[in-house]
Amino acid sequence: MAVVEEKKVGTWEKLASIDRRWIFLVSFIMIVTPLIYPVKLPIGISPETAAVYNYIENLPKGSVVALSMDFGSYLSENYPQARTVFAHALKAGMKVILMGMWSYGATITSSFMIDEIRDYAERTGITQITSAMATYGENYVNLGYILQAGTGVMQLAEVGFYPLLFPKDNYGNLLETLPFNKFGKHITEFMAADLDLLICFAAGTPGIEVYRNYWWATGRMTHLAIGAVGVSVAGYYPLMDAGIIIGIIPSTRGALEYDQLAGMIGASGQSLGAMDAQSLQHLFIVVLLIIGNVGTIAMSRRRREA
Amino acid sequence: MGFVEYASDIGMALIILCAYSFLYKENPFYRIMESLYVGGGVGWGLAYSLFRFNQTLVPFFKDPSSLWWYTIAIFLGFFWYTYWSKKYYFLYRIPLSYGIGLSIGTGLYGSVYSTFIAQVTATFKGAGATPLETFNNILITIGAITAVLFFYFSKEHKGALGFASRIGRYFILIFLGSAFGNTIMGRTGLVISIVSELLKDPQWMMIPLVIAIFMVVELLKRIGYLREFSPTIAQAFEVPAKGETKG
Repeated sequence: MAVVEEKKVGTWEKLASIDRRWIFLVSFIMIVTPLIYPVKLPIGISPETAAVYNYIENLPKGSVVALSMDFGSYLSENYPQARTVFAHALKAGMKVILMGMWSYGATITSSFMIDEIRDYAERTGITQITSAMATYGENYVNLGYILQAGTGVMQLAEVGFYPLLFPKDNYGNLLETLPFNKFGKHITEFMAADLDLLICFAAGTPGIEVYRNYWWATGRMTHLAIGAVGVSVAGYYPLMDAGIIIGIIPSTRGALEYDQLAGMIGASGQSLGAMDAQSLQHLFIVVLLIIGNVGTIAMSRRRREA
Repeated sequence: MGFVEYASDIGMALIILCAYSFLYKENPFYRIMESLYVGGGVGWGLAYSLFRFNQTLVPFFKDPSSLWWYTIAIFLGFFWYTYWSKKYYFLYRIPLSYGIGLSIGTGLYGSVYSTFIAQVTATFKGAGATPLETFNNILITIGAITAVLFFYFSKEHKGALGFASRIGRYFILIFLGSAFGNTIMGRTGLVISIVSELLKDPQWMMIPLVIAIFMVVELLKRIGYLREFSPTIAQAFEVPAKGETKG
């Protein structure tokens, strides 16, 4: 008769073999709960986000801020950033150009954003935004997709916005029919150097490196900032250190920070409960990391002793 | 809310939930969503290409004499397709070399200056305006040099080189930790955005509906009735028939 040796299963082994779906469930509950019942934990403002906000605030009214929508879906990390900066720029009296090197973000998502910010301004009664958005093409214009990212961006600096790259805007309006101008200079005469700031909301490639290589390095236009996805944030700090970009809006947290700076909670489409959920989730992951590491050490020690 | 908005909200919620159902297990709802996503992406790409085609080439066909130089681009474009012909493959090299030459010619200066010279200069800043800034600058310099030394494999990492490369490894690990933390923040932010959408009205109603469907299917599977109830559904959920073994 075969004797089956019973293996002693310790607590760490039990924890290691736990069905990961339980972790997903706890994680989901920890996200949903603060979204329904927000605690409204305070959010610290990072200097990188403040740098972008202050730069726009210090520009004279009527300056041109370009938003490069280099991402896809509106359910992305970049979308809340673009929303809040767009709303703030209009509120601060800037003129805004929307364009992008990603076809979806530059066409559909940007159009969607315009509608959402108009709704937001009407709902919250921010008259500066509603009056700035009263006539399309006066204070903001949606130019759409920049064909052939590198050469397209270079053309913006070398030969201008019109007529080669943008004969029409995203909606098919001829550019010469739009009233958009900077202190009397019409958009059809714009070169990259006429932009006072370009913020690249980059989800990947093509992204900030195109503007950096074709504009900043050649001195054609040197006022750049970035709205970065979480995974890339750490890699952009050297650019800020080297003075290539003036600031970074990091992930959805950066969008919430920007909301606070601009005094427009909800402009990014994110509630304060979202940050509670974020904090709680981080705490949960930190706890899991500690348990995982301690468990791994304990199990390997036990294996060595056995 | 109009019917179209209502339907699109419900549709969006269902697609999101179908995507997330993969976290529970592989299932036909996820596969439907996966196909929808791929199809939608391809459809969008094709539609937008045709739109650009229309915007760019229609003016040329209307007035070819004023835009005669488009013919060069059109020929170059067609040459890409000679890749699949043994006889005319050599033509494929023309647009390829043109593209590479254009990229290098226009991007080399900017690329070298902004990714190399500007950042190396910023690494060796020296004294700053405040003692803390000076300390930070020194730390960056040490971090950059030791991290580069970590990847120097021409000499065994012993003695001073070993010590420096170990310091470099710690700097790299700090960077990776920061990148990991930011990635978690980004991914969590995405989930929060999506869950915030799902909690809106009428999207939230789809959550109990989808959970109920999965619970019913799971219950039927557990009691062994799913194959009798519907062989098609059972096959979709990969329930083995009696006597069969899965896989």
